[in-house]
Amino acid sequence: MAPSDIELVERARNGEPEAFRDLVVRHQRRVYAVALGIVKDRDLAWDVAQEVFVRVHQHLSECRDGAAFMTWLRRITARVAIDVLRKERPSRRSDVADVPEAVLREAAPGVLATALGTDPQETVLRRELSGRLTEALGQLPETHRAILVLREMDGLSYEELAERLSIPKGTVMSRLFHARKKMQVLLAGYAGIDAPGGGSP
Amino acid sequence: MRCAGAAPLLGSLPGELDPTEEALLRAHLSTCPSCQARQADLQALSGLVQEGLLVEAARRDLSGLADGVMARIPASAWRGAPTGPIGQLLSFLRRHRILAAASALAPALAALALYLYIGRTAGPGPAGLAIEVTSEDLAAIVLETSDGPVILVGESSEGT
Amino acid sequence: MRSIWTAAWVAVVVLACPPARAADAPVQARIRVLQGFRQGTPGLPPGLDDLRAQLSATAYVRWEQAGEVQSAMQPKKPVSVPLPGGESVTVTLVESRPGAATFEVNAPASRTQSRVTVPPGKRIVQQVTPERGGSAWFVTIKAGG
Repeated sequence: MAPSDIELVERARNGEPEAFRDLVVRHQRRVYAVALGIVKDRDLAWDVAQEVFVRVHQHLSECRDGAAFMTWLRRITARVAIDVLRKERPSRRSDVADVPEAVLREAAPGVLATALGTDPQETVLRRELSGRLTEALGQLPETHRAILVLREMDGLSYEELAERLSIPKGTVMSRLFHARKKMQVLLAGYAGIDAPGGGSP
Repeated sequence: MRCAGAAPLLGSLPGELDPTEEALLRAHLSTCPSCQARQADLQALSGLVQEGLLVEAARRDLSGLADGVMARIPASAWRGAPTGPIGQLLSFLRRHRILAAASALAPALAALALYLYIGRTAGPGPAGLAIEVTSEDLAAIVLETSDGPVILVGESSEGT
Repeated sequence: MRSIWTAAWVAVVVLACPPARAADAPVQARIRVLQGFRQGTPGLPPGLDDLRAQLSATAYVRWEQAGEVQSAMQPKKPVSVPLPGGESVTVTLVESRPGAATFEVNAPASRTQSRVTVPPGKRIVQQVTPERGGSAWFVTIKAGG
């Protein structure tokens, strides 16, 4: 019933502003969510989302395939958010709180799995952690944040992440591992889980 | 393979590792309780980043975002859009597509209604739903359920 | 030939107009005001259980009822339903027939107007405000009780 993305793209290309507006409204929440995950600042994420759609409009004529539209939109979102991050880096570096490596070594694997149980969708703890997710993401160094968000939100493969971030595949894998580990330590802390033998971050 | 080498491979997507890495990881996992526990942590937290970010995005009123985007696109970009009274009428009809479609189809619908009216024998009215929604600047979506229609305004909830 | 067409058009006009008596019948309607939340413990209060099929089709997970109006609605006589916060929604019975009632819902807060024909026993659920802060207001209308 609703027009497809490519129909809206086609109509926007033919000069229908309402079609383009529909396209923005359809995808804005997801674009904003990815931008927020990467840049962590709500107002900056708003600016990123707007810039993404302005760029989409500038290049509408290059999009001819409906399936490719989402890939293209995700690519532009990642590009704009990472560019903004790089531009903002000098003033924002100081507020990144790194989790000490010692804590990573001490944190007991498996405690979150035990606390969250086997049916994670239903637990109160999961909802609570989901509510504090952006706070936890904000504690990660920006390189870890970007890679984790792109992997989790867009499901990018190691190769795609390597290409998108211009880093080797091995670096992608190790960064992802460290990003996840830090998230786990932070979330365990929010959940009040004491890792046996571990200190608090 | 040791834990230091296996751990970064744990969060891979199916088919993402090359066959050698996959075999080494499988062998390591079968004998290492720590990496099994790490794997369980990853599974327990799977989807949480997406969930948390979408929840956070859902909290924010994004109704002004599209206006900001449209304001940044120069009017000349909408070359196909005619101006003047006819252009305004077309623009109105675009914004109220259901009305426009209903108007265009009105004669045909009237004829059909008449046909049904004359054609049916005495009995209750049509059991089907007739829905007409107009919204000035929000997208309206109609979900049809077994108990009746649900009319939503705002963006389509692409899985959110 | 011309007179045949004229007669046909007269027949069209006469037959297309529903009988006046049926169109004037009042309709007992139950209008409830609901608030839907995108977050929170998913669930419906017991009083909203009859709406489960419709409410669960939306992305809102938690629901609360904030008001209710029961009215013997007369055609073309609008009923104003207040929303918490000072806004209101106007519900008008446009037409009622034995097998169906047509309602018009005018929601100025979302600048949305709908005209829906439903058979008895079915309900209309309509969002009447845009989503703000993860929640939105809805009205639900059930004709005939």
